[in-house]
Amino acid sequence: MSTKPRWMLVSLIVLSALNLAVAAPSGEPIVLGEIVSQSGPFAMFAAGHKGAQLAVEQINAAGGVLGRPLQLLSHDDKSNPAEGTKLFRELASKNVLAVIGNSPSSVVFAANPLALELKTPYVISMGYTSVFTDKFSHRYFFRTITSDRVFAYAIAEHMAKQPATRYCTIGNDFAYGRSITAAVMGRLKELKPSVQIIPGCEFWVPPGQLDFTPQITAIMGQKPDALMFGGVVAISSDAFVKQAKAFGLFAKMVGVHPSLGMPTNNLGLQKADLPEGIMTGSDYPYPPVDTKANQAFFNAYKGRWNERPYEISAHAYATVFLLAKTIEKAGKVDREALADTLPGMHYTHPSLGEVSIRAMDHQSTAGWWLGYLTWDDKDNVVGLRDIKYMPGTNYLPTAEELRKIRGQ
Amino acid sequence: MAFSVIGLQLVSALVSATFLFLMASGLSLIFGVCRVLNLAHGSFFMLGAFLAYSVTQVVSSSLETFWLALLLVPLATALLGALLEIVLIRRFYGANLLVQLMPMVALIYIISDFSRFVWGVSPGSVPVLGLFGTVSILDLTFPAYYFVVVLASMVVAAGLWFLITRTRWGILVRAASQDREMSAACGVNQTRLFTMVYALATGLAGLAGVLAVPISGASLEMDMTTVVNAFVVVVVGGMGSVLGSMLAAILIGLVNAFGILVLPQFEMTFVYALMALVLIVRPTGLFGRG
Repeated sequence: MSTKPRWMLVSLIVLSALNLAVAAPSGEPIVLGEIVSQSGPFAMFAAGHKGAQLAVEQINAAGGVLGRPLQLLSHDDKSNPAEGTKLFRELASKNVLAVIGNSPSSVVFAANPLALELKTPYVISMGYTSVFTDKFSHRYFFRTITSDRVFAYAIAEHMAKQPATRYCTIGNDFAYGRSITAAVMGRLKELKPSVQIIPGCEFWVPPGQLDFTPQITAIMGQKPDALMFGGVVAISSDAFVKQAKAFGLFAKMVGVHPSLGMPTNNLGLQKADLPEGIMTGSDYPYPPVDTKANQAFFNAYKGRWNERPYEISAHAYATVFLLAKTIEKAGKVDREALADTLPGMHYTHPSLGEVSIRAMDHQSTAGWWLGYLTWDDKDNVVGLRDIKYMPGTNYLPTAEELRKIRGQ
Repeated sequence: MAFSVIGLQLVSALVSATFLFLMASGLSLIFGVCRVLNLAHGSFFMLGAFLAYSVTQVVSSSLETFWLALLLVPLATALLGALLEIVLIRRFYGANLLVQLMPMVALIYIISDFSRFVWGVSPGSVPVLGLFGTVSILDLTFPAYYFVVVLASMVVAAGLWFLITRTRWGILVRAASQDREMSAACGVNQTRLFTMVYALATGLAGLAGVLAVPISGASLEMDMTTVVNAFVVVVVGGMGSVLGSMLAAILIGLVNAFGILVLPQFEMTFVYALMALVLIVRPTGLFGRG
């Protein structure tokens, strides 16, 4: 037998002794549940767990929360809403203080009502669908990232200042594809009435479509000023971007897509696939935003996991720190106290800076970075250039709008 | 409508048709000869795309490597097809259709999980599209690679036609697809013939995967979309007819390319409306036998 186990034991003892010397969290751990997609179509959300885990380790190394260690109890929802609800019930029945969500909107839709029923705070760091915090908002639901209304309105505001007026649209024919197209184009027309969608230039393709040749030639035949393709997502968006590049589509018109800059939305694209001329956005743009907080997060994450963070990594990381801060402020480990204290809390997001949880809808004021899609040579990933920050507070619904949305 | 717009949609229709044909011809061949519905056909397409991605990752994203992949990968998927036919598929010939579906569905899941294990969840890209340059047609620059794809499928179509109508092997294939018992009674080694047909068809699926990867990338979800589209082509063209698959692929390409010019918001309906129409007029498909 090798002496490895003994060495590990020795170093473990030394390390824990050192830890003791700094500030040792002791006593029963404070448990945070986590529902995360680690397999299925959204398996890349596993990076959210890595962000949350990193935060837990950092917090514990600095003395824990209320002197007690923080612990993460994670389960894989397999990108499946039914599995997500099952896990939520399971976690809520244990001694978890709150459940963190690193899952797609479909899972959040299913689990959200359970949070109210089981009186367990559900704090999501993924899932941008607006209704969660406007129409379906309730006491136990919180979102630490922005909503799709914010990035739709932000990009619409940017495009309203551009000369383009004649638009074509293309999107996958499913709920999100339809709603994001309607939100961006609707807002754009409100802000700039001269904007119009060219008649007959509004294309809907089945989700998962890979061949866009007939649509691209048809769009080029219409010669629009801009093409809004924000509804083209997942494997369709990789394929569409490659084909657009091959046809030189965005040399002839501006491409508009609010979320193509998000790392999890462009994993299948390489440098030679990228066309110039797409106005898009992200809440974790590359190259990493040059702030002290983000540099610290980026380096720690890379050191811990030996890979680059995705947006969801930063979101989950910020979420755990927010929860730790909230528990400290509440002064006790209690679900009701947490739900009472979270509204109004301020926290630092690595790439978005100082943000807070709004009391009226439990929606974060986290914003959105806009920029042109480009290749980030330093990090060797898809990035953004000429970025500008659009604060969430400029686009989130006002108290009055919320009342209208909720039909009060 | 401008003349140039019509010309461009014609070219687009042809490009879309080539992929449909490469997939549907193999699907149709397997059904015609082996009498099983090869639902796992899209999985071989996906494997072809991922293998091509791996070859270019290991060697380089150059044109030479891509040609190499175009040569090797279809052979690999054909070999795998032959192996699976021997180990699994052949045990279900002659079984009830529903029973036949079970191993197919199992294969889809197994190949999908295998791909996730080997290639992970992120899609792969083979960025060679730009290396082929462009061709100017009317006032539009068309990527030259698309013509490589059209050319490749024309070669495949001509090769298949020659193989089936002009060779002894083709006679055996036709005999087996027309009357399996009689051809067996005449001493045709059906076991080997079926394996070869299955290997040929899965090789074609692999070829389609390699040809598709520069355009759409390789991803875990591409298997189902592809097999569903190919299945529609086979139904319209007639189960078991390669010529039917070719004509149906072109027809569907045209309907789609011009349909979206007239009613762009209803793209999903055109193809299925065409399928319904064909099934009403000719329930066995355009070239199917009763």
